[in-house]
Amino acid sequence: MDFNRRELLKKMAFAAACSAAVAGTPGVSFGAWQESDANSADITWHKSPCRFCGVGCSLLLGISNGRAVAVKGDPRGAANRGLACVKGFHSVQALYGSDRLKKALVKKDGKMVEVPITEALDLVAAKMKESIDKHGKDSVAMYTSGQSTIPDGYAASKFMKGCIGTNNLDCNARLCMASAVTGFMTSFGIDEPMGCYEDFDHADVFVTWGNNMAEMHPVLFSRMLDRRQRDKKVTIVALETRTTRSGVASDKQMIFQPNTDLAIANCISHLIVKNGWVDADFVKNYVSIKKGRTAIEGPDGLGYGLGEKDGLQKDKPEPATWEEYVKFLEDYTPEAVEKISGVKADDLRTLGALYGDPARKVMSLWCMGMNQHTRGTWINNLVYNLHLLTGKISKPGNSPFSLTGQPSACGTAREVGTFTHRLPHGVVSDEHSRHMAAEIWGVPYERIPSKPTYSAVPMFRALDRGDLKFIWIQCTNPMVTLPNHNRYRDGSLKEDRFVVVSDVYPTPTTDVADVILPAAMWIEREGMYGNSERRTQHFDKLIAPASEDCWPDAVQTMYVAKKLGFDKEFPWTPENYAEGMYREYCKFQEGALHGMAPYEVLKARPGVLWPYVNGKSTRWRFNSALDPACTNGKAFHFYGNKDGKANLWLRPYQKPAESPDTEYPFWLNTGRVLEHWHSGSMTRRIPALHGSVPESYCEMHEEDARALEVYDGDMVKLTTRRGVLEIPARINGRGRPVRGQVFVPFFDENYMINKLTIDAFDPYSNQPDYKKCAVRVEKA
Amino acid sequence: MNHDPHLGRRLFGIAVFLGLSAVAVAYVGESIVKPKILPPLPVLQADDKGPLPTISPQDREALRQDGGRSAAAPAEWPEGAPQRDLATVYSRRAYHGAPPVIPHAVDNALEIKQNCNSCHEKGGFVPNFKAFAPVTPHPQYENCLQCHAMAKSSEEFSRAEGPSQKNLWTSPKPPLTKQLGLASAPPKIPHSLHLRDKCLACHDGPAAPVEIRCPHPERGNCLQCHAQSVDSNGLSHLGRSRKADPFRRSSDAQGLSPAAP
Repeated sequence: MDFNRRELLKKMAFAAACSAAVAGTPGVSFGAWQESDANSADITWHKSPCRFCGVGCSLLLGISNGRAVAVKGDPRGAANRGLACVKGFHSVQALYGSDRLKKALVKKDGKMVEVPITEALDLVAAKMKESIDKHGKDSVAMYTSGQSTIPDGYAASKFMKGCIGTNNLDCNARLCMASAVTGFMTSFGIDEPMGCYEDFDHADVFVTWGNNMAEMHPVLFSRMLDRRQRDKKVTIVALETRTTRSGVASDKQMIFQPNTDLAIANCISHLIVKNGWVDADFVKNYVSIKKGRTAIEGPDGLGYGLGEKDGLQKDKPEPATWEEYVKFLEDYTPEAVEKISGVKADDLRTLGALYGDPARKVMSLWCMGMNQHTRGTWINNLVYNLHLLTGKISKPGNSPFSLTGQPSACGTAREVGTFTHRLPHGVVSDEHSRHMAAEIWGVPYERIPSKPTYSAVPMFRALDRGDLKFIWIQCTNPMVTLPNHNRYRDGSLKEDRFVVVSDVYPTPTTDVADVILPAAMWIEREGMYGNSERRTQHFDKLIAPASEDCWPDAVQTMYVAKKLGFDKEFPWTPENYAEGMYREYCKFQEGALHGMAPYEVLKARPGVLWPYVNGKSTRWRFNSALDPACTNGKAFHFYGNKDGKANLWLRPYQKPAESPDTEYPFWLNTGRVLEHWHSGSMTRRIPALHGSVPESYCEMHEEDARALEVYDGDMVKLTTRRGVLEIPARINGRGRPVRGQVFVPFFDENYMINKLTIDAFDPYSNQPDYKKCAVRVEKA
Repeated sequence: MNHDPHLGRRLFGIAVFLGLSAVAVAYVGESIVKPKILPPLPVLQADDKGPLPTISPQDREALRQDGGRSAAAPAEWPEGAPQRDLATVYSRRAYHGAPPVIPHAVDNALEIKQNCNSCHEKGGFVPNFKAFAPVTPHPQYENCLQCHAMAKSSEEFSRAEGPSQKNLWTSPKPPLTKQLGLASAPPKIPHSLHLRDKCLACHDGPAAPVEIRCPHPERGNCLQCHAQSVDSNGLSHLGRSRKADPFRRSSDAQGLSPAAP
């Protein structure tokens, strides 16, 4: 051998680089497009919102020979201005997985048998009727989705609440932004952000609260980075519990211990008050101070949603004085909060100064970190407090902004109201709202029940107990996404439960179904989505469904409703239902508070913000100069609350439902990755996305890995009080937890992390906490 | 002065010894080390093109004649570096206009920091990959992995139980190159310019696909002569609708001044 050491090292490095490069491109099959005969000049471009997240990018979809063949960002899109992310660019491929559900399947003698869709829907109607006759109308339920289009959600609401007469309707948005809603309702009395994405163009300071925007809202994150590039005074602060791409790209990263965001927010308020940064005029005129229930235990205790019959609780708001508030904040000095949260007192002072500086416009951004929280309502309130104290709200660039994760979490779940407590306008407990619904729907007022029943987790608990006998799941995959998965899967498989699932691909949820209904997906039908900034976007039917039996969810619902005798309530055809339902739905929202853009306007534009008043969108609500709904003659009018003021809440820091102990010494956090969307049933069938993140993993700190003698890629065994999972370790990957914490993405049905997560939830929103529970980590 | 009479001789002796040692080390070292250095890279010119070999007039003429298929590698072309062609470019994309996947390994540090532009902003030869880095047409974007997926696996997803799955998606053939409006007219631009308005990033330099290398990169104003083709729906590849939006009003587009209160 005439090698020397230097040459050997060099060769080794080169070989490693080559093998890494080759390992990265085995066969290069991701690029081998299967070319159709069409010429690229035959492509026509049509607008549609993206199928995936709540950012609501406007896309232009290339259609050729009846197939969706290409994507580009729509430069007219207000959210994305021509950009998209890797999911959006490849989104149309999700329509063409070879295992698309094309035929209805019905369980006969334990086996799934193909039947025509009408036969399957006849069976659904018969089973529903049988269950209602035998066990009452509260024995049937529907569980829908923040991905349902506006007509899908509207059909479900009218069917369940107006026709059957039960409030057993809830949706997966309960798992994703229910705390955002209760936050808005308790602080402002009306849902959804006061600002819009134009705030990104005006803000000087961006604070992300437990929100890895670089991966979860990448297009908006790029908008922030773009602002910083052009304006050096722009500062991005990332509050996070592990190091993410967002934290690395920020100007200042602050790592905090799980659940201590409550203490951090109160500490910033403390600093604002102590340093005289309060906008006294604003607080005097537009803010009313409130305190509510705080006991955890006892008859009036908030608890953590772990009781068998726990459900939606009500707060008992009482007025509080400014002096009380200042005294309440005394516990949250920077030094005290440093001990709780792990964020340095000086960093907290920096954050306080950024919020407090009257010359800086501040945008706070959050999503699941604050919402999937057993005190999710509270932390939403506390971040609004910061903006209310400083008067940095409802003005361009001064904006507390609650982001969403699903394309129509706002448009359908929140606005149409596919929750147990909601109607398309108002709540079921409100007499006026019930009267309005009865009148528009043309149903007897008495039929709409006034009491909410089950939110998502209690709904599946009821199915497990047997209080529910029949459930129809549309457009969502709860057997991957529900926390404490084992219990709810077992429950849905019990003897006399009847589970109907409408979906586009086989999933762990269709695995437990008695009837599987093939659905028309996205642009295979007409529909509308509503994104995080109150923007409604319409898409036409651009291609034929995967098969003739693939029906839109709304058409499936309509068929069953008619079968049960509700012809009058559903006077539409499969051709005109989208327009008909949207026009009827608009009647609920008329007025300056929530007026929706007419159907024709939606069809003509990439997207339109509501409130749409006299042909114009309101971009900043509650600000008299910009919002025609303000009527009090003052500069601001928080018209959601009777007194016209926004509520500032005294909400203390409390511990989460479960914290690490000697038996389960680590924190377990779960979430998403950029490439995969939710349970992965669509994105995993897109070759480029699956190729980029082919499986889930457990991120851990390298010191923890060293202590356990675990190397990158080794299997680790995770154990919680609810389940066990063996999963490959990822050390120093794209996310880097601090010591004592692990993070697992939830998209992978083969590594079902939700077997381990806790089904504790917020008392007011009932949104489960997927972000923290105690786990034991061992080398497998 | 108490000069050492032998100082001069001693110094000379030391110098001779050191000199011989150096020669010996160099000689012995050369025989031991024999550093295998990659072919030398051309000297960096003071322009902003980076350390890229330029194309000779002959090659440029060849490019003009046959799209560069027969273009000889530049004199200093690094040994083993492939010429990129359109087939390679398309193999990395789901469709014409899709963001390419990353065909090389991305180490963990790079994945979280995303400083891809250290190689892809100006391009240049990357010895590890024995290839020239393609130049991005949109270096202003920092969140690269937002659009560019990594290629960690080429297998498609299939459920643990059940039949194997394959994506049946198809896309039309990429557009023809050299689409001329008139004979001898400058070719039209068959793609959107959104995110791709820095023409020379892909049409010049050693990483540019040989079929579409520009024969006259010194002319800066590309759109002066090259027009965009427009699709049958009235949408140019920029995506701007040529049809008027009947509902769009100037007041709605502009709204009230965001500077108000």
